[in-house]
Amino acid sequence: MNTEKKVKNKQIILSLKFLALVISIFTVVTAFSSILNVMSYQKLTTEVYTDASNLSVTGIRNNIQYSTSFGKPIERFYGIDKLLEDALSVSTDILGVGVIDSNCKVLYSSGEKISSVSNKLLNNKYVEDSNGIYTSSPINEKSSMVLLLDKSFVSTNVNDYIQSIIQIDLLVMLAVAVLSLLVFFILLSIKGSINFNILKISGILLLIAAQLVLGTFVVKTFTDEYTASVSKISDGVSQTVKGDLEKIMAQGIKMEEIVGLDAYFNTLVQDIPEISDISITNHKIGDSSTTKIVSDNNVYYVNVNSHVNEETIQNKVIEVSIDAAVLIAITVLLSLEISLFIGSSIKEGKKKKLKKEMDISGIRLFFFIIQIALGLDTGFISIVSYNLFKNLNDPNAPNTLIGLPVTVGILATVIGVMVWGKLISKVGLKTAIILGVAFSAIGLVLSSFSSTLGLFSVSRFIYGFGLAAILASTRMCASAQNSIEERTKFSSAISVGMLVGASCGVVIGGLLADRTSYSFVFMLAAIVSLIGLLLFPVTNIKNTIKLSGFSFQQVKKIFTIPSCTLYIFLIVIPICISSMFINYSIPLFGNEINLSQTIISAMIMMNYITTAYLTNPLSRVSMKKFTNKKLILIYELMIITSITLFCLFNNLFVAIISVIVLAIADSFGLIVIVEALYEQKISGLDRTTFALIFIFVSKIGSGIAPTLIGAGISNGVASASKIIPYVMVGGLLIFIIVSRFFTRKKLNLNES
Amino acid sequence: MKKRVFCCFLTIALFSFNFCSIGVTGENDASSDSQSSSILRIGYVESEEFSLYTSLLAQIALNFQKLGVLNTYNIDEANKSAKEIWLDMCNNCISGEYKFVESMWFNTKDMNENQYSKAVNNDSVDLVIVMGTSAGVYFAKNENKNKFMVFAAADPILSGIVKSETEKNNPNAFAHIDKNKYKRQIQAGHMLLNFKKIGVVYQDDAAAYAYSGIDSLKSASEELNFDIAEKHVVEAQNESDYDRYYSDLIKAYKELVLEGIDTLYVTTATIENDKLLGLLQKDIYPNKIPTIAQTDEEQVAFGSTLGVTMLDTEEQGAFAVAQIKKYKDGTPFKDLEQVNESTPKIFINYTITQQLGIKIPFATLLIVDRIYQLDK
Repeated sequence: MNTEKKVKNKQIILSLKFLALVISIFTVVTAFSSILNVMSYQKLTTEVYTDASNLSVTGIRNNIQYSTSFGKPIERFYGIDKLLEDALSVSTDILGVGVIDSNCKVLYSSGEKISSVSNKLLNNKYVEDSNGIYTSSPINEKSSMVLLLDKSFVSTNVNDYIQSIIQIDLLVMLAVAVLSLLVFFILLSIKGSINFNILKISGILLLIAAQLVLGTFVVKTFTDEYTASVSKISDGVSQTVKGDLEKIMAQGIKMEEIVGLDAYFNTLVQDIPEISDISITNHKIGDSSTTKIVSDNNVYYVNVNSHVNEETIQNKVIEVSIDAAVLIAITVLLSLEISLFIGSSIKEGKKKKLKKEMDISGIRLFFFIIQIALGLDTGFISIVSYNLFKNLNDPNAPNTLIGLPVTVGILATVIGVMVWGKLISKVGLKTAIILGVAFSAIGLVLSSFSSTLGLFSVSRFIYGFGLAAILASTRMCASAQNSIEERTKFSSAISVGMLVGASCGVVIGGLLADRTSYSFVFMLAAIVSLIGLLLFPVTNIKNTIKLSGFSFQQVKKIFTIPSCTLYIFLIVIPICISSMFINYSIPLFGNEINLSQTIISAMIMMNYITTAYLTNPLSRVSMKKFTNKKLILIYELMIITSITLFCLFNNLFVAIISVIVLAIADSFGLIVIVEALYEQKISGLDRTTFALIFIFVSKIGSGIAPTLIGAGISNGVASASKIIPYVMVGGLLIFIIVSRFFTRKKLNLNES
Repeated sequence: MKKRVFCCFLTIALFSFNFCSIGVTGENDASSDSQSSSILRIGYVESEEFSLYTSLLAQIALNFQKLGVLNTYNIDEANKSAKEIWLDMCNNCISGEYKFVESMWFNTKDMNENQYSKAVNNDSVDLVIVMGTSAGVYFAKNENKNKFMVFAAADPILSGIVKSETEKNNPNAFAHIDKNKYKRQIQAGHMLLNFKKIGVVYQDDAAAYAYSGIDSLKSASEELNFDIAEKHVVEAQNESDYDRYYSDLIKAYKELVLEGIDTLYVTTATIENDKLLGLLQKDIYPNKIPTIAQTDEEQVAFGSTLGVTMLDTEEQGAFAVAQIKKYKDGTPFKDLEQVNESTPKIFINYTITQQLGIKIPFATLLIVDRIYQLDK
């Protein structure tokens, strides 16, 4: 009886723990996805609002543009005040109207005075400040019309949306809670007993279902919002036509005498696919947006027929689906990592608290979170560098400068690895990790404020130096273990944790960058990395852990061996150069073809995840079947083929194929190139130094890549990336030739 | 020793003398080129009686009122002649810094040379406001003492009043320059009417060539690929010459019609606005030939098909007073900005377009600044 009661209590406690876990993860993920949804909604609402407002003044803008073609210069435009007043009267949302020249200098202003306009407006759909929302549309190549819109429309809508989202989230949370318990007890009744792994899968499935429900809600909200905006646009167009007709008829011209109305309507609506047709009749027509004109006792109606553009809806559904898929992926990865940690805690139970050694699951979780933070900017570093280079506006500046910030960051990592390699044994692992995160955070904060290529490069240097401490620490965590099995376990756990963290980080960064700005994401990365330090205690890493330091003598030893030197320079470094294809070329390519940051980040994530989860099985199988030499050749051929295909075809489909093939190649290749060097069995070389040498060498390769690729960027990313297969083929051929030469020489010597 | 002292003294004296001379000369130069402290005495000369000059003078008066130089009184441009407006200005000046000289009013067409020759090098004024090309040319050739500012001249550079936008032939000359006014008209007209051959009638002399914008017309014909047919008629010299003038004009229009023009450019001339429609109704409009008015809005109101502002008197009046004030406040005369473009306005006569069967599309009607209709 007592045993039965105990078992029942245990089950209840387990069910509650399960519920708590699911609800916690649900809360974290849903809070994040809800914040993203609200940001998306705000951005969407503002875009629709500004688009609709710009469209509603199309007639007036066309009027100004047409007049300039008749010789009326925009700087001295007679009657502009009246036209701007007409624009103001189109909608009460329009607080001010102005005309700016190509340098954003305000030429005219009506309504709420527009005294200055940010240069950002030239490259963005809208710019917001305390006065309102500024949006512009071009009149001709020398001037644009600027509208100052009332913010309250967007704020009200967003507040309403937040209320709805909270309600939906709470409802879904309740449903998830109930379903979690239901699932728990159903599984218990079917299986008799229940373990954490079964619960893990059910929990993840529930969370995925919740994301799908929320995604459906977002699509529905967008559709409703978009439909409302179409109605707004129709009203605006109707008012514009009415105003124009009244203006002409007031000068004594009868409606029946007016010619060219069709052409006029066409220019008005050519950029508005939602407007089907406009007609002037003596009676109201059906559901159309109608306004009445009375002239000389005659009554006319302006009828504007509109419809929802299916293509627009479809595009949005695709966009939301991608966002939902990305959020589901993040949910799954986050759930897996957290559940792994919790599962390990449950398994080890009280024993864990007494352990003095490092906690592998804690370390994995810690570096997972830190890498999320440090990975937030991966998807757009090269884009930010490129934009800052363009801002130099210097036709004499060499294109190689585009890669400067990334190269500088990697150089800092190279220097940092050597410095921290020595320092860690003196200051301790814990201090090194904390300092590493601190340096990275400082670098990220500076990145957020960098407005020039020089300052951005400095910030990336500081970041790279901090990153070196983290990378060196991860290697040292593994090498500090006593047995080869423990070292492999730690190495694998940290690598996968960091890769998965980087995968989550890159897409979260992309999702946020699409809705906010790059500066915001840099700042957030800094904050999250510092918050991540709060998790440090779970790692159980102490400064007292004994470590061997980085040895320059041992490094020298490797480079005195010709075969090792050749291998490093002709094989390893070119492969490391090619690794930047994913982190450097792909974001630039995505930017070139106007992909959203989310999709760019999703492609990078796909590469990381594939590598992370294929590494164990594929490396085990491949290393059993083939020698290291053959595997290296296969690895190189896969890289060369995939990147060459991208360079030749230069389209999104081939880019995606390349990303996947590279991921598969890396899943065994990255292990093989390290093992091949370790096969040399260089005497006295300890694993710490060995591991750090590899970071050092790989960063040299990664550091060279942006400069090489940047040099050819003016011809397009695909053309610029050709350098990678050239370098790899060159390195491989020279290595084969030289190796054969040395082998023959050795054989000849032996024979003689 | 004594010799050295003497040499030093001489050197010092020479230097001092030079400095004083430069100082005096400099002062003299300054006083001849800029007007800062004393009263600025202003006179007025016009080439002839012309509504444009009257309107511009009225706007100058209005802007002097805004400056507080003149009393606030009703200028009444519509009902007063240029002389009356000038007299009002003279009698309503309340500023201690400006004076409008009543006796310094001349009209070079209505007066003989003995009379208007007194306008140049006159002792009673410091600055003369000059309206029109012929008066401007006369001043450019003969005025050696006083500064003069020429407004409403068709082409001050071509007619030699000034050398360029920044250079002068006569250092006392200033001329308002708006180089693109004819081009604007012709381009707008061509966009609307898409003519292939344009007819133009003007007096065969250099001044008329300049103020009729023939140079700009020829340049535009190459750019826009149309032909020009020219006829020459001597302008009406006085009231009694108008019958001859209109008869010659009608004959010229008929000849142009026979030459196959599809548009007529009605250039600045002595045509009275209220006679314009009648002239055009003889041969031009019956042959469905539209007209582009060169001079002003009134021509469109009275029957020309379309017009684009050549001179906006509101803007140029403000510009004129601004430049006079700058000079008064000390800006050297040679540094005054001469270039000021008028803001173009587009006018059409809808009745005429209907009569000619010209369909003006709605989008074009929207950009027209004023639509005139006859009898409305």
